[in-house]
Amino acid sequence: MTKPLLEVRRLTIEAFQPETGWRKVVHDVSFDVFPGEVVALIGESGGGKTTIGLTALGYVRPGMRLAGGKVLFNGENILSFSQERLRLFRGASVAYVAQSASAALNPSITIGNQISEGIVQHGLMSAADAKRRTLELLKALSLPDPPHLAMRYPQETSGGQQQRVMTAMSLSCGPRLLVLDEPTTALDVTTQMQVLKTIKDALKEFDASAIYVSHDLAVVSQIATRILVLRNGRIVEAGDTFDVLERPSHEYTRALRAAVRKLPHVEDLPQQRTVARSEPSVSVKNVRATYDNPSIFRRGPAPADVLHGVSLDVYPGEVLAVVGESGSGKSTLARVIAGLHSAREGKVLFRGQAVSSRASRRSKECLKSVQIVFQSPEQALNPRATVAQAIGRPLAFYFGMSRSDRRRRVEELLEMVGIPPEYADKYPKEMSGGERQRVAIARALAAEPSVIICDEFLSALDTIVAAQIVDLMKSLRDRLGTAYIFISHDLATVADIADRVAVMQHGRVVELAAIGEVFGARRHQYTAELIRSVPEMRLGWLESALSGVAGT
Amino acid sequence: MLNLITRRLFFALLALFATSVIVFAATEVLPGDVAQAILGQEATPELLKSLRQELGLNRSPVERYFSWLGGFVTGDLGHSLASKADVLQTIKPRLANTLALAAYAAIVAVPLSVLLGIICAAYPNRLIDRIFSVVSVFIVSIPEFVVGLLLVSVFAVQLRWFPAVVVRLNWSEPLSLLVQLMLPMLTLLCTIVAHTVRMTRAALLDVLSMPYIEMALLKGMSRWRIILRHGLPNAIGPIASVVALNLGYLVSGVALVEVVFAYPGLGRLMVDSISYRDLPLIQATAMIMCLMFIIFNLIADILAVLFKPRGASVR
Amino acid sequence: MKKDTIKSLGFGQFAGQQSIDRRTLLKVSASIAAGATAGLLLPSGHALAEEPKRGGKIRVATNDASPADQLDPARLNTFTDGLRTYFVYEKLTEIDANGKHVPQLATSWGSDKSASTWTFELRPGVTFHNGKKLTAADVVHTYKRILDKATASLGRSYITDVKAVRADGDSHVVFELEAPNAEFPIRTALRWMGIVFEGAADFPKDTIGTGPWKLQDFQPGIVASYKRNENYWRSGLPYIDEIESIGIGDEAARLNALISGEVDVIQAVNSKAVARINGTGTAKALVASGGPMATFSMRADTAPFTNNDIRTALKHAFDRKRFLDLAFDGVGVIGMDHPVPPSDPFFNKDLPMPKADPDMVKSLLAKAGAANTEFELHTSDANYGGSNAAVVLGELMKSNGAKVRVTRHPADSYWTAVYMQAAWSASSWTVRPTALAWIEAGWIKGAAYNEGFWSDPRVDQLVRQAKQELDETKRRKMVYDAQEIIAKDGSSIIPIFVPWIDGVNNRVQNLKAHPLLFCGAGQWAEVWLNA
Repeated sequence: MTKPLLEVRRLTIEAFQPETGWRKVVHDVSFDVFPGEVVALIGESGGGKTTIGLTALGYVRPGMRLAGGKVLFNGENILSFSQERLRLFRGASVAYVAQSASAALNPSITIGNQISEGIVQHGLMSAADAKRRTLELLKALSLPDPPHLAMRYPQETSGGQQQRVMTAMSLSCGPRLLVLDEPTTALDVTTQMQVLKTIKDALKEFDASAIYVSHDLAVVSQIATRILVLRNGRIVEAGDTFDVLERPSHEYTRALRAAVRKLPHVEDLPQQRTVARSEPSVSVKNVRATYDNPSIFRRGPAPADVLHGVSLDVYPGEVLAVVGESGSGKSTLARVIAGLHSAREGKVLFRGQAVSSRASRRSKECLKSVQIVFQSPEQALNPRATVAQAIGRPLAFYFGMSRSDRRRRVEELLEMVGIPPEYADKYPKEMSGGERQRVAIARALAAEPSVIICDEFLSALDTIVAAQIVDLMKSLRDRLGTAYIFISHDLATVADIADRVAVMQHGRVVELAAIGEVFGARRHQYTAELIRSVPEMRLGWLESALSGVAGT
Repeated sequence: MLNLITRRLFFALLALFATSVIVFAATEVLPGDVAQAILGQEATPELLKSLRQELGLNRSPVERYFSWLGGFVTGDLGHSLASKADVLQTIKPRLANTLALAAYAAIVAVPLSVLLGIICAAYPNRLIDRIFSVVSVFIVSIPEFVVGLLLVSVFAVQLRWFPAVVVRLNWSEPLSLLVQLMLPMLTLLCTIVAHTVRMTRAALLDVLSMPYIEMALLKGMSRWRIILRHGLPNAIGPIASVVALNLGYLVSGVALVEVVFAYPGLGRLMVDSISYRDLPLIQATAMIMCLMFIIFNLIADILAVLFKPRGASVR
Repeated sequence: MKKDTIKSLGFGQFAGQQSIDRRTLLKVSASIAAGATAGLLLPSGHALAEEPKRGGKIRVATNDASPADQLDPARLNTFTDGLRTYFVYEKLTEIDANGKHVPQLATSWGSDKSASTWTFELRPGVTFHNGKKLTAADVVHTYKRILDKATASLGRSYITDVKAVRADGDSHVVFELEAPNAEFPIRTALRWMGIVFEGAADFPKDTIGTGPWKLQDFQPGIVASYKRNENYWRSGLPYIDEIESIGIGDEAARLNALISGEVDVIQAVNSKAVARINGTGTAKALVASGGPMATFSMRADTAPFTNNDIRTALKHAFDRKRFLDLAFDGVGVIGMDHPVPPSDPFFNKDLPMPKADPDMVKSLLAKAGAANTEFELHTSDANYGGSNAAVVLGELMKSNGAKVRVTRHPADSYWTAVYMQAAWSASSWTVRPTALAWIEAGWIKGAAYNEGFWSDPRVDQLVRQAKQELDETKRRKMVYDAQEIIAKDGSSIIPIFVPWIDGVNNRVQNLKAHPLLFCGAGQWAEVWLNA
């Protein structure tokens, strides 16, 4: 048998928490990665997956420390390397692909320079050779027009391209091992499928092994040779991909498996609810919108319209899902409705009344009736405000509640979203992602809106937590009769919760129909592609789905 | 973007207008009768009466405000009550002196504090950073005139390296001018360096906590390459606006330093004018100081907009 | 009194006034002139020990500096303006450092019998800095300017009794007064009376006098510099080639400039700075023997101070030396409850200093039925010594059996809202040129600043008589009597005269403190520098 490339032995890592002090987050973890293997680390967020993955680069994040164990690469303990040795090791022997390429690529360095600097700084090639190599890498990752792309800045490219660029960057110094940290999670389904395929091919082409960190069993099943299931920092199950998928032995693995949302067949859809069609809560009439140039340093052509005449209605108590790949205009539509972005043409009506396209010019009543919950509660919640302050602000603003009334209402709202009332005095950073998103929902509910816009608000959460929040939404919908505009690329969830679906592509609504129709036979070609891209938890799905796309 | 700058400009003008009202109102309510203050104790009733007439003190405040504002806008700042000299001509050389001192301080302070800020950010919570933060808290908490007096007692009185007062600026010999202005420059330096270093450090540390910095580390980049190539360009915006803000402070906060060194600048002119209730001079100096503060704030705002990290555009 | 800016200049004393006709006048004045000239040329006392040296430059830091700085003697405003004009201009007469009234541009003067027409004879051979010869026309122009209301001279109020001023030939000037004034010649020594050339009106351009230095450079609020007048009428003088006067408003900065040797003389420091300056070893504090006055006046028209027993009790309820030490660091001159400072030639030397006397306080208050009355003293930081001086006074009085409560007021509104309104309030006076001028300013009926609301017909009468009395011995007796009445019956507690204090580098020689102004009143012609 060949020698393992990476040996992790009895790895124990502690994290510092202000209340509890140093606490173990990774317990006694051991595993090997052999050449040519892709080992998946899977589990819910906070399970220690990324922490373990990063030790393969000899890196422990600030606020954490190594409490025991070894990480051997080619038989050498990299945790005992000197600073300089470690620097030369990183990128050249083991490379990292971060979860969010948009955050992990430097906005002020061109794509080409970001890729080639690794090669030059490791002293592998001259600058000119590195430049040539960069173009080869971009080409190998199926990126269009590499010479042009190399001169652009990351934010001038799409999410899928950014993820490929980062993968190219990780491969630049010819590492033997890649640590891929949820590389496709932030992408929409159609892009995810393609990026996944590119990564899989690239690993083969560049003869690299990988540690693949993910929470999505369906995605992992397409690329991993072995799966390690982590829970609370311990390996609870390990085995070949097929075994783990088909014969999970640990209860937690089974729960993960069950949480993978399969696309329902029409007959499996929840019974179609009847929503009374009274006056729409929100109507959008023929809205066009564009983005003006945000910076004088921005290069490239003037951007085209992102919304080309979108019209739709949302009725009271209804859940209208808006689906489509990134860049299709979903989020812009949400921002136009919320008054955060001005429409160039067309209008937005609340209960039949046209409203200003700017939130700052809308009446208080008008502002109150539409609330928005964003993808990332980290950005939406002020880190310096407690939960009570965050939820209390709309209470004071819209209802002028006294301090003590506010407190009571905050606790009611927290209870409604399943958060213990004592969380009222916590700060966002003291809570998990799922808890923060619940707080964000509670804050939206505080205004007692007639419509809540949920903009991809589950995509940052792992499957089990996301499923809980979907259940919460359903119960709130039924109890409060609030309408939802549910913006998502997750068709499985959409199928679970939506009454109607609007499918968007290139800034247009290409299909708008009841859930049953969309998932039924009569569907738009693009809708079909979207549905086909939802990963399925079976080996070989990726290849067969892609050949299907290729065939269309 | 242009729209944004236009808006900032508009607000700056609004602030200027508000400032003019406040400056005028504040000088109106300065305690003591102007005519009495000018004539002093020997004022006789008939002298007082004729002086009031001459000063237009018998017109209504609103009337006086608008004629003053009109004059200010057209560059006619009026005449000093006490010396009868044209205010603009009185102010010009003083303003030049103040700007010279401020520029000297800025030229030394800005590179120094940005450099120190970078060093502190490179070694957060390490010895050098802690030493600097203790020192800067110390400096920030001492009023600048005390800093000035301390510097004077050490470098002028004890060591006699630099002059304790600067009355005639030696323009003909630039080198000796630099030596002459050393102590006031150092005093001003103390007032802005601490703040600029802390803000530079904070801005850079903010950037250094971004995921792309961790990425650069994991790509095997060295510490200084990460800081200078990956971090600094993304922190330029906030740093530039902190610098601009501090320059505004430098110009408007220079008054006390000028008094300590008897420096013939705009700030001392204002202080001197206040003791004489010389309203046109007080108003003009106050307005010019506010104007400069507003201009530097505007520059700070515009820099913040211009250098907004490209990734931060709304999407 | 009061406030900060202007103060009138005072003088010490008269030289001889003889009642003479034109011929006798000239005879008498010749002898005066001879004596005076001898005195001027022969420095007294220790100054003789060293040989004066020519040359060098003195840098003086003044406390006032503003764009309002003046070089027009008629319009001068601050003490610093006064100092500045002393370098350039001269007057008909002068008060020297000993308080003596001496000739300057006039060699002699005299009046008719009624003391209402005064004639001055001008010194021959005096030229202005521009080479023009001094004549009576220049003097007439100078005085007409001051008397012209449009000039707005603060000096005008001292000579409003001048009905006419005219030249009598080139070398005599005649002043006709509306009423007799035996002290009139002294008023020609006031700092506003600097002689400018005929036609001078545009200052600082016309800053041309007859004084020891010529103006060289003037930047209001910043600096003024002067160069030696090579044609000065006092041959061999001045010793100093160049003077530079710079404004340093901040006292700490002035001290630093002195200690670091960047300036040689600093004007106006606090009594607390005296020890520090003397401690340097390189400089000394120059403390004048007289100066402005601090008062604590009770309103004699308001209960309980209508009763002189109470006023007398309070005058004896504190130890004056202790008060001086505690409130003014021991730097100052003790006052006797009348407004004449000990430096004045007419100061009544026979009056005893009121002593702290608890028994007397007790019995007088009991007699007045005020044994348990609490007296409220009002003050503010606008006063000399700050409000601290009143607090010290109150504590001393309490320890001697008088119940005193001190109330502090904001400095800004003190003079308009409290002073001369409250029954008992602190006040600060600038100097007056003569004992009579002091008494006239606040201790006669109808005086502008009669802050005690007190007058006595005897004092009024004595002042009237003294102004007409040309005989000095008789006049001195009248002023003595007035002081005694005021001290005994008056309603002001006057514990201290606050001296002018300057700092002077040791290399500056023969700079003498002057009772009437800072920095030896700028009489620097005989000052020289040791290397």
